[in-house]
Amino acid sequence: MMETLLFRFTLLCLGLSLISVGGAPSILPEMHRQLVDNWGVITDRTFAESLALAQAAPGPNIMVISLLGWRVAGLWGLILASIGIILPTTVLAVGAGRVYARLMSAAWFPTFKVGLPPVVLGLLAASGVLTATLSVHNWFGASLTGGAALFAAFSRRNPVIALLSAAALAVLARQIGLIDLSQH
Amino acid sequence: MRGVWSLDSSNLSPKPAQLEQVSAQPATDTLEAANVSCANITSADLFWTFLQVGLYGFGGIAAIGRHMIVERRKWLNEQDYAALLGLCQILPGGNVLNVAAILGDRYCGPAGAFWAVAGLFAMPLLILVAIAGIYDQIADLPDVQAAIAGAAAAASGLLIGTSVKMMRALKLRLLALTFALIAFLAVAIFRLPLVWTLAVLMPLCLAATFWERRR
Repeated sequence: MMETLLFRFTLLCLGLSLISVGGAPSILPEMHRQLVDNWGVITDRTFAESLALAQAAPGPNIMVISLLGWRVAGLWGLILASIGIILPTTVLAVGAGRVYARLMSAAWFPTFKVGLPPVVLGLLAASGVLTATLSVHNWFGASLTGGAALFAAFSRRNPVIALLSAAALAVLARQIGLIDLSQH
Repeated sequence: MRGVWSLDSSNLSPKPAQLEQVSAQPATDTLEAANVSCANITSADLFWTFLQVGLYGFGGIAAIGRHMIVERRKWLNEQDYAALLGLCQILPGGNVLNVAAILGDRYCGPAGAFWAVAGLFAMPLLILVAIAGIYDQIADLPDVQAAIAGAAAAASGLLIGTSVKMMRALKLRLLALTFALIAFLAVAIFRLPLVWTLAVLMPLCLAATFWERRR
């Protein structure tokens, strides 16, 4: 029974990996539909908690799939989910990277290279705004977002400085009774 | 086959020493040339660099990924990184994960891709398993919640700021800025699906860039 589940889950990861344009967000709805609604192997609550937990941990957002694997089938679930979600896209990326490198000598490549970034940069800012609408609920959170945006835009220093400062400021604000970000 | 990578790495504004070494190799001597680029950036470099990207990448790794690759290691300049990120966006899989795989393979072949990706996931997976074990005990502590909420708010800001920084560094022209704005509005305001936004805007943006250059 467990082996069948593990096998099906690994297949699910391998398949969803290939349509995960933009990372985890694009495949989470289908993951939820299969794991919670169709298979009933984890609850809605566990699914939501795994999302929150993966958000709180550092690293690529696709790691939420590893965590779901752990919830579904323990250590083997975690290992197979990770491999299943990472391997197909990595192989594809290496192949695409080799084709891309070959094109570099083409006469039209410099123009191609200029045309690639604009849409991505718009999407990068959009993902910042989307995550902010989920995590920012008051003026204090908004000013942390704004401060971090200015830091990233104008400083060459490590972005982790902004993250640690914001976390420390939030704790400080709670301690002195200014505002409590843990409540909303 | 391998010669492509060495030729490619001379295209990536490498450190001066690397450039000299690469150009000192005859272009036909592909194996030697490949070894040169691999000698400069090793699998260990790849592993260690992407280990830090994963470790510091709270709330998304786009900001720290660019910082490590462009500012700290100077493996790519801003334009080459932005273009590679564009390629990685249209491929399935996380953007920075794809960047790790492609750079790893470019510098050290399939083994490099493996070590870069392994580095990216090593620490976050350990941390995730560790905090999953204690999450129930600490998640309800108000200070912990406040710290996570504060860092999450800042993480959103880092994404916006990194986008602004790259736009400034690339000196985007009006046409490019228009496409960036449309992509932003489509996803952030109108909440259109990412895949459709990409499928429509990416070809249009490339076509418009070629059209603008041709005039």
